[in-house]
Amino acid sequence: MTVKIRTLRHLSKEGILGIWENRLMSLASIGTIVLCLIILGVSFTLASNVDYILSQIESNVGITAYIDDSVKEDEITTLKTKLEAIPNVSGVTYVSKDDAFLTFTDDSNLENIMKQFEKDNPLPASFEITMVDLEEQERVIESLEQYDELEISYFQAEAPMLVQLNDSIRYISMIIIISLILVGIILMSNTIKLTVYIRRREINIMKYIGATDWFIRAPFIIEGISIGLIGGIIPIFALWGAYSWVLKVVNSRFTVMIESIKLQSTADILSAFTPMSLIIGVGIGAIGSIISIRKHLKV
Amino acid sequence: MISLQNVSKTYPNGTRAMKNVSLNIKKGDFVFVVGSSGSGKSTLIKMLLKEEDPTSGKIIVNNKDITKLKRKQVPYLRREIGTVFQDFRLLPNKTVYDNVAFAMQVVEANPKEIRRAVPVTLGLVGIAKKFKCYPHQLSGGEQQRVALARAIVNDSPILIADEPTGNLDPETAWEIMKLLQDINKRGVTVVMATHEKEIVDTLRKRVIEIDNGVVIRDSCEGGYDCED
Repeated sequence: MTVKIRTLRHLSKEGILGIWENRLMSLASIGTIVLCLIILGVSFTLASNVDYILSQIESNVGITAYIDDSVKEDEITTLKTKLEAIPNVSGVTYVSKDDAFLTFTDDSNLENIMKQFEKDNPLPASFEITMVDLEEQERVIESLEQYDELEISYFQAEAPMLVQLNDSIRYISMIIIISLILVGIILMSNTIKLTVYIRRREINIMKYIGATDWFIRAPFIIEGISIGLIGGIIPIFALWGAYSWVLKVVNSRFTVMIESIKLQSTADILSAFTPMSLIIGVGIGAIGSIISIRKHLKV
Repeated sequence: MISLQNVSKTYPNGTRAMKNVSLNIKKGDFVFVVGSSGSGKSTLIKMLLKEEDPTSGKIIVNNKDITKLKRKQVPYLRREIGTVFQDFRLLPNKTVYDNVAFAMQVVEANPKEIRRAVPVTLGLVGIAKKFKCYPHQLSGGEQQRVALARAIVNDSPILIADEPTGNLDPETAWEIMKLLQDINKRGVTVVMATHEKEIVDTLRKRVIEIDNGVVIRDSCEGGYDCED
């Protein structure tokens, strides 16, 4: 057992020395992985922000159910509980006749018109209903239509459109990310292939001395993993710096415009991107080196 | 120690490099394998190292049928066989000491054992003074001494030398031959493939001559040619 640990230490040293000995190639590989992961990070940040914004919009797009004036005040609470029990309903807010009136009088353009109705409020009370999943809006509406005392109003067209936009953004970023990973593996395996090619005589000699496949492979894999690790760490810091800067700019200049919509925090983005970057970086390094050395072991 | 039983080898391109060859090499033997290029000499060496597999027949090395070895077991076969080549095959970025030590690291030897055995072996082949040098700083003869040290440092029972004197001037060649004989005297079975008539004629060891894939002579104390 101690023999194995000693060997592993020796092989790790060889692998890390290899990075330095082939520093130009290592730099190229690290650069490739960094580039891939930065592009991945940017598309991930965009996609998750779009997703985040859409979910905020989604939660604002709801169904309004106007309540017939014949419904008494004390029946409203029972009705509200019933509506809350409908599957896929995430929230029911009661807007009384007075609340509705106040909303309108707040608007300065309407103020004068509304004054005429001050004594006899024509606006109905309503429930604002939000949903968990916009795609299931139809079913919620079917349930609501069973209540004769409610008149339902909703955005028929917008809901599916939002869902579609959200889905297509997810698919597109998925395709970008997968193709970037493939490109990364191919480039990585090419760089390691070159290192292997430079050292093929050495590998050949090792085979004649009686080195096992793992003994020969390990330094290259360790080299690949280390390169992948370095290539995975750099984009995290790059994204950290860039995203906090973007947030600062957005928050200082555009707060008025997009008051109700928030971007994801740097911590949220980084906590998702850090493991992604490290795992993909190391994965690319390991897979790339295993692929490229396989051929040269057949001596 | 080494035994071939009805070994034939046909390459995928149709070349018949070995035709039903049988031979025995005993422990402690010193054997020359001679023959012109293309005779099947290299094929024989490659098959002993399991670089090539015979198309039919059995090859037994150190009591094991190596034709049945799995890929994973090949490194362990090669640890039983020290090898020396015409082109030395030293690691260019390692010193003399590290080249020899490397052979022991590959078999996961104890570091204490490595520190003891490497200087002793370097002394044995007469290259101890240059232990800090890199291969490119050495002459051909010196490089071959290092290669010999590497081949014997793990006490392998068999030494295969493929044209070990091919790149050396006659005088240096004789020094290497003397070392090979010393190694043989220590009990190592030596199989040496060579072209050099003078060496074979002078040393009067067992000679196996291969021509066109067939053993045409196997004499106990022969020279290069068939005259005696």
